[in-house]
Amino acid sequence: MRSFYNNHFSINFYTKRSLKVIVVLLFIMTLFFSISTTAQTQETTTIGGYGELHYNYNTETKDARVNLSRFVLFVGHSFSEKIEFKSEFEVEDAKVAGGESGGEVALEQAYLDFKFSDMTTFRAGLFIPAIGIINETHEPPTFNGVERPYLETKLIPATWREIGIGVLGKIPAIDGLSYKAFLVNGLEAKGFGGDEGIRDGRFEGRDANANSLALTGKLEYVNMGLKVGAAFYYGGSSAGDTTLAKGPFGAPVSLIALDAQYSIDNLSFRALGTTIHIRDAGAMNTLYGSDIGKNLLGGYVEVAYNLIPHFDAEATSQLSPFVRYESFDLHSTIEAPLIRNDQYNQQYFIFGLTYKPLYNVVAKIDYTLERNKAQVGETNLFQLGIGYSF
Amino acid sequence: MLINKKITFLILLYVLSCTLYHNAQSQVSNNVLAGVNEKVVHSLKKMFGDSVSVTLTKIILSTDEKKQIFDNAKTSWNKDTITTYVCKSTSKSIIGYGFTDDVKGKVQFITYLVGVKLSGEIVDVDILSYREAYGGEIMYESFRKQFINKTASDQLTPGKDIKNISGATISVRAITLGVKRILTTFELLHKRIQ
Repeated sequence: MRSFYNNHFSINFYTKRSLKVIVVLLFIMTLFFSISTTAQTQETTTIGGYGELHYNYNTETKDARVNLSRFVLFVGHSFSEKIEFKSEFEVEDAKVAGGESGGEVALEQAYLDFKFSDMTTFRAGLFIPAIGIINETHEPPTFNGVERPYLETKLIPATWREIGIGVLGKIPAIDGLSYKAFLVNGLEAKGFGGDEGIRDGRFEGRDANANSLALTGKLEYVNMGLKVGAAFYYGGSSAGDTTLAKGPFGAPVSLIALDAQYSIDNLSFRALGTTIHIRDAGAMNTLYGSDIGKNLLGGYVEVAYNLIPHFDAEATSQLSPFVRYESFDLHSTIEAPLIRNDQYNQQYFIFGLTYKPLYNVVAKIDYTLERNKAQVGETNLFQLGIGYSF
Repeated sequence: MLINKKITFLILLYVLSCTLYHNAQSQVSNNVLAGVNEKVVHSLKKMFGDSVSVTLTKIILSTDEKKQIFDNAKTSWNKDTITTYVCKSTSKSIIGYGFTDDVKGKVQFITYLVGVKLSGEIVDVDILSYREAYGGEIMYESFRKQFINKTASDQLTPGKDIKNISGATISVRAITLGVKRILTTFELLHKRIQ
């Protein structure tokens, strides 16, 4: 037998062993994924979505713009009690025309969840790491202001999505505590910039370089009106460029984000703080000719008050004036010979009104003051928005 | 086809094991329904005491009754048969009831149990199965305890009387409307339950 195979198929000892290993693994997998056999489960497909329309008027440039900034469809399918598919498909700026800037069609999420227990759900696919507030919860009726918080666009680059695997679930010992832990593909330092930090280093699920990897996770505690979270991200960003660094965690980017949401009676608060450390910013600037900061730091606080109950105690609609203050510095620390750019030290004051006739429909108005330490390009924006989610 | 004997044997063994295991799983899944009932009984014992006896019964609603329930609860049953558990003390007198129901979250159904005293107050709301990855905050005790002692005459408006949890609006709404519907049903029909 052995000689026959040596002549015809050359299956040697190692190949046979691999085959055995593969068969054993297949067997184990079948055992594992037999969790789907429940007698009476119906497969159901759900469609959901959200969208927002913006009107922006720049008081400096006198430029007025109206834009269907987002149209999103969720398609979800529950295969069984334990296995669920979720996806998020987005069109930005209503259309994408070749050769023109703006507009984006993107698959923001597409993943499978395998639920083993309340403590453990296994996730695989293209999904959103749990960092900050907006990244995971960004439907228009869920936040105040026409635009998403600047901190959560420029520093924590929402909507940040990558491909990976991970686990999530509730921690049984403590009521209200849950966790998420993921391994995803890393960033690409070539895309980093001084003005938007790591934002353009994301792959967003498209042909991501998997030479760099990242670990990310969050601990969240909920107790009625209080929700607090602590998230981290640690990932490589060399993306195969060995002149920058080697290994999956080469040219590491570390991020910590702490967030809190609290509502009591008609008052609600939000606060978020984040710090990002790009260890090899200096080397990246030399290599790619960019102006990346070494440390990025910032935060915001927001308070809103629902007036409706004062006029109608029974009503479930909301009319909330709100104020948000954001302050962050993309050049909090820089590595010589880069010169600090004070334009990256930014403050935003947003005053506005959010009206929700129903919990998932919203009309927004706000006045945003954009300021920076260099006092260059400062402006005030008058903005209106309409949004829905279902 | 020239296949190694060993490999053939391994493949056959694999197929056999899968079949055997699958059969075993089907046995288990036939008991899943029984398992759900066990979960219910366990939960009702926590609510009404270890010595309580639990019997399964069904309430069948007429079209008229369904309309009445909709008028009061602002949400309607999409089925005619309500699964009810009658809880009796050792002296055979009824001390309370359990109602199980499924409400739709964002994508998946949420299975829950409401324990109601004979006098109409909620003892507890237990989430028997929460299937989705988001919105599971309704499982936390800090949320569920809002329902304790609520009766059919209580307004249970999601987001107002039952406080919302950030990021779980849909499941909060679903479970609150469901509980209200159950309380309304109980109020209307508890004299019928034996």
